[in-house]
Amino acid sequence: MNAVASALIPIFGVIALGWAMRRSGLVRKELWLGVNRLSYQALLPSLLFSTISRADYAGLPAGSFLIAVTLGFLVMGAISLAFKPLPVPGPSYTSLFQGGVRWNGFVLLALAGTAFGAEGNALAALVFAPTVPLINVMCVVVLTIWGTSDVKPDARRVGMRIITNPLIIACLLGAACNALGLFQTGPVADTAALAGRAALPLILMAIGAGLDFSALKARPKLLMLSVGLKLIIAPLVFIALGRMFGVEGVALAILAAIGSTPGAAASYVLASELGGDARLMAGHVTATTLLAALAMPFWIWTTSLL
Amino acid sequence: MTQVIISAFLPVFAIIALGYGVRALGYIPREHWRGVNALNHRLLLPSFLFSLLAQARFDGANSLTLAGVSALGSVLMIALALLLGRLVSNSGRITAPMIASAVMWNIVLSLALAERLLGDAIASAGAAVSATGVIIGAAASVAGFALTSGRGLQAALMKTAKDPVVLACVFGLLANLSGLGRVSVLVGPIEMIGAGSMAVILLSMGAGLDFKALKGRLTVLLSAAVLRTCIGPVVYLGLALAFGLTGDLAVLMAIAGAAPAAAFIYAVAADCDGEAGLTAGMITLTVLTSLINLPVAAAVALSL
Repeated sequence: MNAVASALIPIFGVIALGWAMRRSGLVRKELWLGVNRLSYQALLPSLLFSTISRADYAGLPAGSFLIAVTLGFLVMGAISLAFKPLPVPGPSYTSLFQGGVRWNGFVLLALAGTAFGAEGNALAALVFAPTVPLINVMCVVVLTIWGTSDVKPDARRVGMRIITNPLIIACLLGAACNALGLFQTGPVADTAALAGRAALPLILMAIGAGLDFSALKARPKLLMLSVGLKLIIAPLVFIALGRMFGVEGVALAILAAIGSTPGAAASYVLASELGGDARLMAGHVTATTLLAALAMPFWIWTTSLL
Repeated sequence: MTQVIISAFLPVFAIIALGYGVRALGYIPREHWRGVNALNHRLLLPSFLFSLLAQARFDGANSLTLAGVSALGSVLMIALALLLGRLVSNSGRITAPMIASAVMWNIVLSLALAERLLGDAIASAGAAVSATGVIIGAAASVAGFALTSGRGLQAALMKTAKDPVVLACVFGLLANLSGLGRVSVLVGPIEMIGAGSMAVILLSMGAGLDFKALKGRLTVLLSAAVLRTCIGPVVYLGLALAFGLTGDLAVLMAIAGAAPAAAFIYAVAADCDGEAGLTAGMITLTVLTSLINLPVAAAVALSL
């Protein structure tokens, strides 16, 4: 069994356990709110800070890799916009758009360390800083135009939401500490590392707990299109851009993995808040989470042929 | 030596303080911790214990001695808790949390500290100590709360037999003995959850600290804290030395003895309609006293 498949088995196993815990009622649906909050507000920032602050970026193609990643999301945004003429209601279109551009970075983080070692970990953690604000702005703009919510977000609120995002702050602080050589060892580094170790199992379980199989019946054709955008078009775009910018080896495999990760659960929250089609979004997240177990190893494997 | 102990212990207590801080400041409010606590008791702690026991490399006589000393320590602590419980109150509802806080030491915290102080190699010895410690401790805690809540012996036994922590230990040992514990496809997800559970358990331990619960019933609370974190290390370290366990193993036993009460006994108390408020107070006070007693006990054991 290759390293990617071996790493993916426990990842999807933990997701399945999260689903089983919620489905069996052992941890009821409403209780997952606290688990999610703890993960996003404290544990994931600790993980990102710990990984980025201590990573050795010397010799890694971080610059070209980040350009390819950022362009990848912009291109996916453009491709998703090209589907606007489809005869579907505005809210459903916003969910198609979110399906095309939003990705689940946590599955990638869980995979990168195990399958690609320290190099993979360092690159995967780096992706969050530029992409979280970019994707959020794109999605909020699209939802503002075509969503049905009466509550329209003001630019200041969106800006504050991005500036105070714990994931972005953690990435920037980690990069600053890395550059300045701060907190490489000692109590702060040890505390962040210890807290960060809990992030991925918890967030993977929360992903599982959020799966909603009944939502797979919502708008099946549109759902197939959004899944195709996420698991077929996006990996092709990311791999092609990686090749264009001379990215290869582990970095190219990480690009393929970024393209083929499942949809992000946050897209469901945004769709609910800003008048998107939340049910279609839930179906998209559920379907892509299930299919990513096949899509991720496939697309990562294709990079070994290039 | 002081420097070594401080640098090993500081991050662990910092995580506990962080948990308290994010809850007290309202960053993650109290009601949101209910889900985390439920996940802790039903999945994270069981996964941690299952992985620990399933993958431990027990080395015959030494492991048996450790497990035996741990079991003997648990029995002695139960006896002392019963005695002290009778002295401070006639109510069984008070004795139940006394027993639970005395016998159910915080395994996650102890093993986190032991690993940081003594290295990863202590994990298998930690598994041997935990195996009997958790099974006896969890069984005594659940049975104590269930019995004193008036549910009867049969219900108490059923509750004990179904407790996720007890089950995890039993299945972990069975997986170890059968060799299934080393089949990565089977235990991979549980191992992944177990590896990450330490910080969540420490964070929720901090979030669960309830200083309001320290008001009133001071005699009971102080008795429980003295028993757990002052008499506990004497009992466990004394037994270890009496049975010829020295060096790192003696330090491990001292840490187990001086550790605060396990946070999950609060969930058990609440689940059995026991004295949950008093139990929260006991956990809180033992965490505070262990801040001093744990490093002292480790230093004493290291100097022997």
